[in-house]
Amino acid sequence: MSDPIEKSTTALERANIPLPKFLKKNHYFGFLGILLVYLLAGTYSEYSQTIMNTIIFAIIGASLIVVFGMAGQLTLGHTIFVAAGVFLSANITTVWTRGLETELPIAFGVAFLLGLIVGFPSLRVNELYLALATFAVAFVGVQVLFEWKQFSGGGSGKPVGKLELFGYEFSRGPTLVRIALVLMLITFWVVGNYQDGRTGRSWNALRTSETAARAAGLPVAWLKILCFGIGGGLAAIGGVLYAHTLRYAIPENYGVALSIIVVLALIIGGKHRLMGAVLGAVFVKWLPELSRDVQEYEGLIYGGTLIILTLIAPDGLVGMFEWLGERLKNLKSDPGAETTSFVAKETSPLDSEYLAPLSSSDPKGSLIVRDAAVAFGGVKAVDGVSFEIPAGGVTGLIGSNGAGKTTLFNAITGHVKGATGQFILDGEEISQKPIHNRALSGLGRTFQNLNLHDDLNVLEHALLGLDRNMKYGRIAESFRMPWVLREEKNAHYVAAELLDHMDLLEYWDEKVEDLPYGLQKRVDVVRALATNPSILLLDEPAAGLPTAEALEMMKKVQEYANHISAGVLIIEHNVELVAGVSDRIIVLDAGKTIADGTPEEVTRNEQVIAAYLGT
Amino acid sequence: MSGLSINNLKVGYGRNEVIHGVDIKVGAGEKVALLGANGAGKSTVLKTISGLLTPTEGSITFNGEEIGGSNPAALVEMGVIQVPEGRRVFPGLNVEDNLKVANYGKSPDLFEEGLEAVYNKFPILKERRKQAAGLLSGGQQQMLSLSRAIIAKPRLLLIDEMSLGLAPLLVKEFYEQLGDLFSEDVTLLLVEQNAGLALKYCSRFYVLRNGELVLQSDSSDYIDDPTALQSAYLGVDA
Amino acid sequence: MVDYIQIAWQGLVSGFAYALIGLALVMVYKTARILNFAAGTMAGISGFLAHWWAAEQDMPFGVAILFAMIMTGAGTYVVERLTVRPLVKLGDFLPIVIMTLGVEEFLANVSLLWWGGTARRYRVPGDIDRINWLIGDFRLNAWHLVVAITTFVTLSIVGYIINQTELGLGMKAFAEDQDAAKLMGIKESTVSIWTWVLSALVGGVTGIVFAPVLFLQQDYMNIIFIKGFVAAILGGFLSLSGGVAGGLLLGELEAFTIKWAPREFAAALPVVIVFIVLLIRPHGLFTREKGHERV
Repeated sequence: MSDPIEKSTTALERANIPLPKFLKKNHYFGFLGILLVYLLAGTYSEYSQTIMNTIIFAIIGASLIVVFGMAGQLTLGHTIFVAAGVFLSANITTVWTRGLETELPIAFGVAFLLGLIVGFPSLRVNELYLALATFAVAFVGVQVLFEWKQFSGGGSGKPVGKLELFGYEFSRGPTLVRIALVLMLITFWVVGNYQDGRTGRSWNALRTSETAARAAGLPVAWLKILCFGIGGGLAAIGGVLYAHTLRYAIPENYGVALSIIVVLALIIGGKHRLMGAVLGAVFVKWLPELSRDVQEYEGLIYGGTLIILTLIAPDGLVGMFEWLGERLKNLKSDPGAETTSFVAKETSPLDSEYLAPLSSSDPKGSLIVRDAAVAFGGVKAVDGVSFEIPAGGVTGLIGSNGAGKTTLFNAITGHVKGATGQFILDGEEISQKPIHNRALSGLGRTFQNLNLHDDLNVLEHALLGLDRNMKYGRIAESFRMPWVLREEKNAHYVAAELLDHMDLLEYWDEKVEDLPYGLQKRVDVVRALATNPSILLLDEPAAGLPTAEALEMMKKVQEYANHISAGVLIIEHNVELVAGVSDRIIVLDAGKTIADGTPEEVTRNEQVIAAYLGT
Repeated sequence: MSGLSINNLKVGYGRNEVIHGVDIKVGAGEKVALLGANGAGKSTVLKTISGLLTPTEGSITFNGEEIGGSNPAALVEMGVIQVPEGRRVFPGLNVEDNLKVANYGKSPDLFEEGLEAVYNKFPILKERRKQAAGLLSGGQQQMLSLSRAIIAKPRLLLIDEMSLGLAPLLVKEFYEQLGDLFSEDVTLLLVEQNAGLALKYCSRFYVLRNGELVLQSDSSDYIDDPTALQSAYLGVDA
Repeated sequence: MVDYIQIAWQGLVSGFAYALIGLALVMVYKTARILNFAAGTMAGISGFLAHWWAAEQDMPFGVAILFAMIMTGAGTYVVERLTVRPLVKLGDFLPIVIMTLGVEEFLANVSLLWWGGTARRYRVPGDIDRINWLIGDFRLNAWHLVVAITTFVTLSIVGYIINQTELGLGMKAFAEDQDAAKLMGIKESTVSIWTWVLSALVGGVTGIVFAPVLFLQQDYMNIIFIKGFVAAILGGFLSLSGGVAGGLLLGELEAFTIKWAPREFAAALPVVIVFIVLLIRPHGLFTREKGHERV
């Protein structure tokens, strides 16, 4: 029982958190599968057409995972990227008589740029709107193509030239299948790398809560546009393959119908996993092979399947299989066996080699608020509030319901539109910056109503916060360069120690939506702490918690804030708690400051008591 | 039993339990206040009674009938009427349409009657009856919100934080008028942060803190010195 | 001059279709915050039913229209109850949108199996659509007049329902504040279903009156659906009258663009408009920006 733990043992090792690796188990399975098809492609050449279509759909599916599965942007205009690939391929092979070495990069590049443009509305509108706007893009795209005869050949279309690579010509049939498989392998690998890297994590984060993603310092606008660029580029690779399979490019094939089918296929397969793209493609492409009857009713079957799956298994076939797998596992293992004895830490995580370097004796987080004001309609929610917080201090902000505390927070962090006044953090004016840049300047915040990312686990929340300090670029991430892995590993170690400090380590693998409220509150705090903020804005961290639990959490937060010498500004109703932790309390009422002083002074202030209890 | 009876009520959002087992009794025709600092869970309790939220555990009965988890429309039909926090008038509808909505599904004749009563009590609403409710001042919106409840003919009236965002003098006026607006036999549960006002109007009160009841008493015990409630509210000894 | 009037009238006639579909879309979006991707296909089926019954099943035209409208209403009722309602409780709108996509795919294929993929053009009794009057140099097609009158009547009926009936009041209240509306005793499911049905009926009318103008193909209403959406965007998507005005404006813009701009550009017009509007006035041309958003 009392095995002495070596001092050097890190939190990550104690919790058995796996480190990111260059190749994962999934990679081997995927590689095996693809190898199998690669070998069989020559044997069953009568099926090569269907195999080819399946591969193309799987690639398009993977590209949609980027846009829809990860970033959560429902796009119905995805076929314009496919069409771009198809027609660029037709033009490059016939007009320039060049081969794949030219087709692929140009198709990717053009579709990438096109994606940036198509993605633009996502910045201005909600997802519902966006779905329709992209639907319009698909609809109109095909018409424009139709009219642009020089490029597309108009209604009769355009032939596609030879299949060549650096001047070597290939026969189509099985060789094309093999080329396609290699491209699929690359596409899947790249998308998989995003899933494990900072970009994918950021996309997942913005899907589940944009507000919180911004507060963690993520450039949400760029990330949204980028997902369309990358998704579009990858889809165009599918388009190039399409061109060579069909050998003839006809505009009307790439309209709304195809757009809907690719989305349908991915949703049926499962939109969050690469396996979903494969299953969806297989479902859509092999079902009609079963019989002529099926062929006739194929659209009906797809529509019907989607309707039923949306009702019973929103995560598609993959989700169903995973659920079944869980069930089987639970049946086999006896329930008591899994509780691993959790080894307690011996030294404070703050002294660990990963958190110690963050220690600082140089207080930061001096915040000057000058004449902050926010009006909603005619109501002044915040009405000319000014104060200065010295670096490294703990300041409480209290006031009755509707006094304007949260609105003031939102004004400081940029989460509310139309705020006026000046905010200066450590001498730097941040009033005009967008939310995520204020976060990058050193504002860390939590949310009153818990803005967490439901689908992410606890560890990922910490990693999200750490994103602010990650250096590796997105191209390096696409190909999982060594330094990407190095940084990710380091971030995992830091995240684990941070979780350990907040007593969350044993829950690292849990999805936050499954955690009890008190722990969710901690996760929210962890995400903010991980950004290594200069000042931490806590919005009712104790609301809904028993006082003892709240005090315990606040103690941890303060320890960490002291460790990095950050300032803390805390909104709280639990006056007992605020009075216990703050050096100073500011009281708001009806949008104005009514008291400002030490906890003792404030709790005895007549005006404050009146504002709280009414007289 | 007649009146409102809440037993061991637990409510949560998703997995997060906010109300941890609360018992409240309001006898028929009784006026009771539910007090507490904000974030204590008062509104959650009211929303659960009026059907906007579903209890995870426990029971709510009104005049002996279980109403926990019923849909709001059915409850309105039974006479369970809530005046929501923040007034929640329909800003784009005019004053009269706002009142008409309160009569939804009921006979137009009754409406005419109620309308007259409302206009008698609040002549300003009659004056502005064709104006969009969003253009009214906060006080007028509160009048409108209360008027909707008058039209709905409550048997159990739930009022959520009437003082929110209104000038103290105005709030006082509303409390003084409450007795006139609704008939004596209406059962009332009132959520309020402003203890002084609520105690003057209600005979009994409960104090909620962090989702649990920490105090219940007769108003008369505290009416002279509501500040004595401070420790119950805030959990701190002053 | 007559040229311009002719073009303007042409634009107005197309504008009627966009306006009606725009109205139908805004109605559902406003009350339930849902976009129905099957709306175009549903409207198309209404048109097909009416004209197919009348032309190929020897049903009197009026009866065919009546039956088609009844089918549309009943079909929508079933679709809403079976597919949308179970998802509303989850409180997440994305599954609902996906669901309507599934319904779209399903219904489009039903229509394809029933009527085949080839384009048809149905005539109306008395060949009204071939009657043209000349007023000076201005040519007026009789069916276009019918379209105009139908649009006017439909808009009046919808206006009446929304402004004068209790259902309309419920819809408006629900659109403004769902929780407050529930507290007034308005049933969400009742408002939702009737909004859907009303919206589908407006779509059905559009499908029926425009069938003789367009070639009927399994997806003939989809293009009108897209343009109806553009109309709704022009109108800010939350305003019924804005949607109608947006539709008429789009019809005019389109008619004049076709006259003077290259065909490629005219084809891209709807998307260009969507992008410009989103860039400059995301809340639409005719409505003022709505208040605040809180975190």
